[in-house]
Amino acid sequence: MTKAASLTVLRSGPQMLVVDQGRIGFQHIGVSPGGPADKHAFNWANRLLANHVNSPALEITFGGAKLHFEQACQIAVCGAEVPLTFEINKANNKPITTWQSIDVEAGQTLSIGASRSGLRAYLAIQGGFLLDSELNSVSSSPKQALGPFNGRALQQNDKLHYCIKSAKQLASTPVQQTPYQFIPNYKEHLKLALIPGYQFHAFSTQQRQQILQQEYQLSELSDRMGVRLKGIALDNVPRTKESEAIALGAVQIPPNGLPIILSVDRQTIGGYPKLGCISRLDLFALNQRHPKQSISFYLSSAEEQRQRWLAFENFFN
Amino acid sequence: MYCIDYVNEDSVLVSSQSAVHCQALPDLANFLKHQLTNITDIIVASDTLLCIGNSQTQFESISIAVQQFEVQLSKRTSHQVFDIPVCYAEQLAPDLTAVAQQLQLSVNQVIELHKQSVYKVKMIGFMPGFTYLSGLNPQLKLPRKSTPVSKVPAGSLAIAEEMSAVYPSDSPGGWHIIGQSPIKLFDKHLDLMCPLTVGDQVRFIELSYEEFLSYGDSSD
Repeated sequence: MTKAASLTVLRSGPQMLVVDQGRIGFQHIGVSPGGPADKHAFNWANRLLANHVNSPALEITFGGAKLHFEQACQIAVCGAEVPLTFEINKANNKPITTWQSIDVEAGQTLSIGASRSGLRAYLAIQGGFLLDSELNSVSSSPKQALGPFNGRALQQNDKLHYCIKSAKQLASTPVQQTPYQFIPNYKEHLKLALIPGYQFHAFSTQQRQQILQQEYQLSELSDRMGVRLKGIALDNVPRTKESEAIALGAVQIPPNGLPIILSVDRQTIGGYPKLGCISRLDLFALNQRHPKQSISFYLSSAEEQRQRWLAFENFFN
Repeated sequence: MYCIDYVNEDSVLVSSQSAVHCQALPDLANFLKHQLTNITDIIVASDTLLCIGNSQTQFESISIAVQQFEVQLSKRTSHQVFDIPVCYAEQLAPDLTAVAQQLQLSVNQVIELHKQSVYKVKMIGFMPGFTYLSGLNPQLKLPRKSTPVSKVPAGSLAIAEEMSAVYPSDSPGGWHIIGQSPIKLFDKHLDLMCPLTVGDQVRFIELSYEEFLSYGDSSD
């Protein structure tokens, strides 16, 4: 039997969730899939540790967290650029950065500072966290009360378990780094590939041009359910239609004329008119943008974005 | 005729303008689940169906399966009728009096009209197990509340627009609460987490307040 060690949350920061690839297969009964808001960084964190692609990790929004490790282990933090420091044995430590595997000694406390660029950092641990799944997933879903701790965000003194590795096992795992060309710059202006679909043709030519030509800013009201945009509102938005299923990345235009891009915690059905969906790789990049950063749209095809997506999936699977 | 449109990297939206085809969407969902591998989710709504695959899914195979289904559309299976016990007692129905006043009906008339209808599960969403039931008597049609209530208790029997629903768990809500059901429409601990499927028919069976309080107590 494998012995387990615990990781204790000393400070959770604004929001810390457990995530895996998400709760697949229950959308017909209204269960949102959830999972990482940015699968690119999540997948890299697991890959650096040679973990299974569905290994649970922590999604730490805005940083500001502190974690205590009972036993030695290897971790990786990818995504938002957060300062990382060990509070104990500081002197012994080499500088630690994101996008690489990190050796942690028994009893160390890791401080994760406020994010300088990007919103969400993913902390994976070699071998994954040991958690019971609910509806085939360990992802936290506060609104649905599904996942560890009945779905709520992690709080101070929560403990998560991981497998103890022998000194020999740990010594034999060299440090891995993400090659720099795979590390996104979250400060850049982002262009989102829009796959036209749903009610795209219900919008006038002029409305479509307006959407494709303007720059939008992210609203501070954005979250894992939807990213709200600010800009010049569309006039005379087509009428709300019969409710229908909402695909990941759907761009809905409510009566106020400002787009909302539906993300991982989206509700499964809705009735606002939709222009189509943005590509999911762009959605991951969008979910790393701070409020007030700017974005714009360009038209693309489902086929082109599917090829991008397949290349991403093949790379990580 | 069904139209098939790709909406993103792994999802296809199937829609139709024909009533017969729309009514058959729940059956089409079952058919696709059995015919195709690599389908992860299918969400049925009134006149559309979203079929979500994974990276292995061939879009062409969905299109072929939809065509095969159309050929045998006449041999449709029927859906079950599901009885939901509800209690319209005042203590459990905070909005019933106001609803009756707004509709210029008596409380008893509202109750009678509500339980006479046979409803149909139109779609499931908003939150786990929230089931939109169409078929509300037009005399009971009211817009949603202008300000939603921050906490509607689980089991609340509600009406709004042309629909009725039972809240599966505590949540904010803007529908009018006219009673309560003792049964759960979503229970993550059960194999069948949500008893209803899109296309099913639903009848409301009235319980007295005493029956409501003792519901589920009888050990047979």
